[in-house]
Amino acid sequence: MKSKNNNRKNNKTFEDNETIDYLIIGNSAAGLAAAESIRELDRAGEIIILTAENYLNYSKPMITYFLAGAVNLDMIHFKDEKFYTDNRLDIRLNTRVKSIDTNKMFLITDDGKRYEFRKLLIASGGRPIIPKIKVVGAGSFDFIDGTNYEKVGGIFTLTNLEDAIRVKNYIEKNDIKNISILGGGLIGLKAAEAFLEKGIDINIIELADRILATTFDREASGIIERKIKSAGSNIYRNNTIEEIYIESGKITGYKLKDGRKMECSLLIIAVGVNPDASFIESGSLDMVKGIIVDDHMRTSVKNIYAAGDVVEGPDMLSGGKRNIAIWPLAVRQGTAAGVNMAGRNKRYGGGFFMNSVELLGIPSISMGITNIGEEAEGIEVLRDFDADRNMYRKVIIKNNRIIGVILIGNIERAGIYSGLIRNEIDISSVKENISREDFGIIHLPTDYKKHLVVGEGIEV
Amino acid sequence: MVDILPRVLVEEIGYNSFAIQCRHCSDAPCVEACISGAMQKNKNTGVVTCNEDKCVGCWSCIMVCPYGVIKRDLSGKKIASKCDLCIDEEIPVCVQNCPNEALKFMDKDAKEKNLVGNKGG
Repeated sequence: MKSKNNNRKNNKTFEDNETIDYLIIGNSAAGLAAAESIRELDRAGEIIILTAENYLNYSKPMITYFLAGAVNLDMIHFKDEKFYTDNRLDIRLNTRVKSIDTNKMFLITDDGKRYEFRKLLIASGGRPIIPKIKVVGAGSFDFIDGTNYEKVGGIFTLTNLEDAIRVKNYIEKNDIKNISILGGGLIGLKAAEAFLEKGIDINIIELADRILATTFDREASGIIERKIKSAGSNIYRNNTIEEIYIESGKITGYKLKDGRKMECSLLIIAVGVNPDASFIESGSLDMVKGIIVDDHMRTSVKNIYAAGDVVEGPDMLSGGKRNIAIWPLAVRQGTAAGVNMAGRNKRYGGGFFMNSVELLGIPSISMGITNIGEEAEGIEVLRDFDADRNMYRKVIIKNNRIIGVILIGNIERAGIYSGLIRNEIDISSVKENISREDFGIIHLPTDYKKHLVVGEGIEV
Repeated sequence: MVDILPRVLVEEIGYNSFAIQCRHCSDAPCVEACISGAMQKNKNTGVVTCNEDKCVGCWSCIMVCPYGVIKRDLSGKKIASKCDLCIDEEIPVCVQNCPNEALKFMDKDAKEKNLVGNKGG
């Protein structure tokens, strides 16, 4: 959804030199959740949202749905235009932050403008990782990396809507029949699915010994891998691209680590995403890869908050801080940040990784710690694996508490598990029921069942 | 024949049965997790509903609902299916059709009459 309403961009200028009550960097899940909760508590304060992109908003996880043709540009937004007017949010498109002065509390954007703020939220999301790869035939450079990959025709990343539109146009314009994807993670595989549905041949190149290595175990990866192969895709595991061949400014092929040479007219680099904190001067905020935040989404500098894919926040399962770049946590963090920015007190409460993805008709959900060694002390694994039916259910238990779950095929009632993880429920009394296919509320420990459902006129 | 996907789940162990449906949570995890903006909580009524046109069937809501009361509806375009409190009906369908009259439809006290979902999830 491109904004039709650009005049809103300049309804106030900063030549006014006024201090903005709430300045938000980022116009996606975390930023908009924060804006909404600020407005609920502060009807008058000025809220300005800065975004480097040219869209009023869109759902990043849905860009592969757009590639597949399942949603069009009119349906890809998750908040409509009315959301901005109702909440009186002043949105500035195409406005990239260049630097922040965390002492004097102002920031500078790429176009040289200066924004002074009382409270700042950094919700700038993530940006794709581009590994350094040798190139032959580019002329002016010998390697591609994050600074120059866009100069080569046919090499793309896939993290924002602009990327997806460019890929779609490139496929149509150049009549692409074969696509290579570097990285067998969620983005790479969702993209592969979209292309397979269009009858395009796919090569997936994965550095690990299996696809979806970070969220799945061997059995789960195997189910998805077999399905993807049977749909006509090649998967090259334990492999990577060593050399890219370029002619007349366009990719023509590459050499794999195992020595094989491949033809290629479109390469998608989807090896991962890092927090996008490039505009933050080193030392000005506590950071590792992402911005460190506490349980109230406060950074190390007073009145500066951060939320979403850019942060390393409280991780419920390790007890430490971790970057968990998923939509539900971005919203929860944004909401907590907004409430705290508006002067109230709301704990985020921590989170843990979870993901739901359906690939080629096989639904799957994974959550928590799914790749822990079964020999580790205090670890118990319940497993129900039926490879022929593409069904798998694995529950990882540590000290009588569920810490991880993988569900493939049958994902019904998956949230009951996430509730048990979040609430750290002792499941020792109901362990024999935990991995049943018809697992439900009725099987839960009595106290937790009561906690969930008891209310006026309801008894358990 | 049209398959009807029940929006109230009945769990059973032997003679024990137990009906559960959407609790319309105040801090609804399904709304938070929804990537398409389909799942919304009405600010006036508190009712949580899924806009079927916007839903893309990513099942994030199923992943986070601690009651496990959201189902996959695969009868047409894949969408999430859940109790919408039969907001347009005078009496909810589940109550009308419960053969044992185990489900009842009652007003909460006057103060809370128009608001559901004060019990969080």
